[in-house]
Amino acid sequence: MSATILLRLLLVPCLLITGAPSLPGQDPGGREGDERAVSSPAEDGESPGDAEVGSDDPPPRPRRGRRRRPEPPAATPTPPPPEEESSSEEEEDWLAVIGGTIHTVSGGVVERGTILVRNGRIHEVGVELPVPSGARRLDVEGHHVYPGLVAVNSVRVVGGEFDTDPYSFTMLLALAGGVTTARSGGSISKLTYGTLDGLEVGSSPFVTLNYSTGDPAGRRKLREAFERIREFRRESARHAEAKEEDPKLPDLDRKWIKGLYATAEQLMDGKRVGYARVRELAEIRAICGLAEKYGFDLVLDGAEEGWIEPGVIARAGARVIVTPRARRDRDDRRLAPNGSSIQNAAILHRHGVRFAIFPVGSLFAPGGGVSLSGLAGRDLLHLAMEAAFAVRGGLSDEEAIRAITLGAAELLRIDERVGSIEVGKDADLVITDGPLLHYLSLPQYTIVNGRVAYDQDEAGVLDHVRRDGRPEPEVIREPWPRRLGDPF
Amino acid sequence: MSSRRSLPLLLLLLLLASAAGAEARTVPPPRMLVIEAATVITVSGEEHSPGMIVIEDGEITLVGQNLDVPRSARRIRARQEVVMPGLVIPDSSLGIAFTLRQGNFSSLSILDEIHADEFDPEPYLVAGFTAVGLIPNGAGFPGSAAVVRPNLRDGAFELLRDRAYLPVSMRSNGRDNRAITAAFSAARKAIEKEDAAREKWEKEQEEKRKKAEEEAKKSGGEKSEGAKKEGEEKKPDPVFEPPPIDPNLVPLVSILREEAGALPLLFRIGDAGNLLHLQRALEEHEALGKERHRNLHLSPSSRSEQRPMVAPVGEMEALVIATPEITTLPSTFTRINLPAELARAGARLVLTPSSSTRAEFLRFRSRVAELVRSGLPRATALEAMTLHPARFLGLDERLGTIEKGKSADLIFLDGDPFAAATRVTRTMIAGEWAWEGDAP
Repeated sequence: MSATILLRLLLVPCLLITGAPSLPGQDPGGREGDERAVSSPAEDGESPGDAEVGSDDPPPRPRRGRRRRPEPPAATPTPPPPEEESSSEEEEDWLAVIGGTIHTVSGGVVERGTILVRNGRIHEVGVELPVPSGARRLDVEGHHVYPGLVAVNSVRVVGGEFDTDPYSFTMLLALAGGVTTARSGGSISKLTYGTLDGLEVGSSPFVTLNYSTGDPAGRRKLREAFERIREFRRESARHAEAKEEDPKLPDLDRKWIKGLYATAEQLMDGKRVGYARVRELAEIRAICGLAEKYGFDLVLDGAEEGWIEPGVIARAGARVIVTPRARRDRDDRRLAPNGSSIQNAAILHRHGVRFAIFPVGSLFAPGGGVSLSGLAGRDLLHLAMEAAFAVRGGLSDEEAIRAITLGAAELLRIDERVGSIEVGKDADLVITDGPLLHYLSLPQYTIVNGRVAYDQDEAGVLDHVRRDGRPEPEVIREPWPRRLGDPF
Repeated sequence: MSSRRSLPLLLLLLLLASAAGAEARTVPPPRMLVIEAATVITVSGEEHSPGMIVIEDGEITLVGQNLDVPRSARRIRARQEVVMPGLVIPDSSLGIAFTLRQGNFSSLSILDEIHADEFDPEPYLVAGFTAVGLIPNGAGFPGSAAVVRPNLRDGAFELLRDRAYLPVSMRSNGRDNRAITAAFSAARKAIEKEDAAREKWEKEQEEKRKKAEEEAKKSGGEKSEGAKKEGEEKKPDPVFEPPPIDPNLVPLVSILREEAGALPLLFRIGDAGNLLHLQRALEEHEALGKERHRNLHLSPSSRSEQRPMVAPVGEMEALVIATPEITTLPSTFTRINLPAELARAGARLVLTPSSSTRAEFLRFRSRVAELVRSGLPRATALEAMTLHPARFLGLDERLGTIEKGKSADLIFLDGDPFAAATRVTRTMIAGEWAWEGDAP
């Protein structure tokens, strides 16, 4: 390693500590990332009071010239459930959410706005919209309205269509934390409390890649699979040309494409997304190099040392699942910067890396430091609180909220349906009694598919939590048993 | 002195006794049995106290107060006791080996698993159960239930009805959901296969017939041959032989075909989520939505949500077999009298012991009493222990109440059935003592 590189690497943490912006010329990917970051967000674009929001699509994902733009995925996200256009007006179901501060995520903030929901989809967003007769009205004046939060991973919150218990307590708690969509293993589902209708969103696009430095043989196998698929694709292109001249040419043999080869092909076709749990910089470098070389979509889970060389991730176009509270202690025996940083999310954002925020071990991933274990309200360090930690690390509020809504939806490739308050998207809303990232704010209502799935007053699971910063918790007047049936 | 004087008297007495004996030998013993009790709880109507029940040939012929009965009738004087119809337990697996059976085993009957000698009637009779629905253990479709009558005298049990109903487990959303869906779609396929085969066969028959007719026309001139053929045609008509169906699918096929002898289904669910999944799994098959299959067996756990199922179950007017327990809402101390709420919502309530153990059988009435104390109407509770389970088992014409024409399956209690210290003193089945343990 040359002395200059060493110096640069040493410089980075020093600069971070002093709070200075990172070196623009630090690595080639970084500058490009900066430009992307400047050009990408459309968050602050619209003035409050715009009648229509969210009409513009999210900016297309920047890619390097070498990479092929993948075809729109065939399998995921699944097409939204067919809406019966022919359904008579009697069957139409309208919901009007009136008077809240609407944070659309994709199109700015609407003060005192109205969201009209028709048959579970957002029909219109604006100010002082006429509410159709017969619509259910939800007056949320003084509250904040956000798109439902998206959890990129979960355990026992929601399952597939056949397995989910729609009355499970964990699901209720997750709704109490504002989550409306969660991935669980291979499926992505809505938290439709009390019903199974509209539960399934699609299947997870993730393919777990093991490219650990500790398994050289496995690494070689994966590399070889990609290499062989690349060869095959070149051959297919040549074959297609030849077939135009001679239509009688037999098709190429595809029987061998299975197992790892099939995975590699799906990845290179853009049908699936590679998912890798990485922490160390060396691992990040390795897998990002692979993604860059073979041009597939990559999601890095963790990437605690990503802040050291964010350009590596930016160049590969990889997305990251950031956990701002995750700790990886610095190893003082090493000269190069290492360990985790609370600024990880902010630095990655500055370099144009798209990311989602996900809590450290919790309801969604037990085994980590924090667990709910059925104790409602003891630990509400859900998605919003984790995002707030990223704000502490230098990220803007808007970006932090984006990272737990639209950012996470993009990562799961379900951003066509959820993630922001836009016309045509599913009506998944979180209505909080204060700013989402504030530690005293709690969801008052959580709406899933245009249906109030959680009402704090009704659910009662957080009755014992002090609200609005009141110093004293409410006294429970009736000790056990509080109620015994209904008296005749 | 005294012996001399008493001798003629003794002789006289002997004479009289022998005459009486001769009379008894000629006159048949009284067929009529009369029970005189402090209270008779009929379940079907009012309570009589004091009450009388007249039984002839094991059947109840008359119930009432201060009835005129012939002197020759045999009398059971139970002036300190309360008499009520014997309790009916719709699902017991006491003494039945636990098998890890999982999947579709609908062709099995519980009688394949339990032999009369292995059956222990004592726990049932002590607790006052006079009819027992025996069910197999296991998930999915473990096999059909049978109804028996426990009896210590005549042997272990008397079979009342084999294949009374088909229990289906829907306790685990994923596994059972798939099992139910797979089983019924397999049954549906079997039906389609048979229908297709029948259609094909009918076509073939038609063609054969036409061919034969044509041939007959062709050779119409030759009478002798025609006569021969007529002789041949007198063979019995060919019968359609349906393709063989997996025996485990046969009961399901007959359910989907809505045949008269189809078994009713009993779905065992644990919480409101199971119910939603069940409704979704069944909505494909129209036959399963019929009233006779709207039977739920509820065994809630403290962590599962129950309240949301009250309204839909009431709407379905389902028959609900519930355990007599006051549960709490998940993770709270809020107590809920689920059976009472279900009954109030419109469900037909059946109560069953919390588990198939002797201790739980003995505790059963006092548990029901707790439900009654906290809001379940007394009449509903009584029906839920006797008439409703009998109706579910298809035996309400013979069992379940004290009415004319029903079998005299009675229990004698030393107090009100819902009082704390009341015990069963003796149990009568078909007019004969089945158990007289604590008779005073």
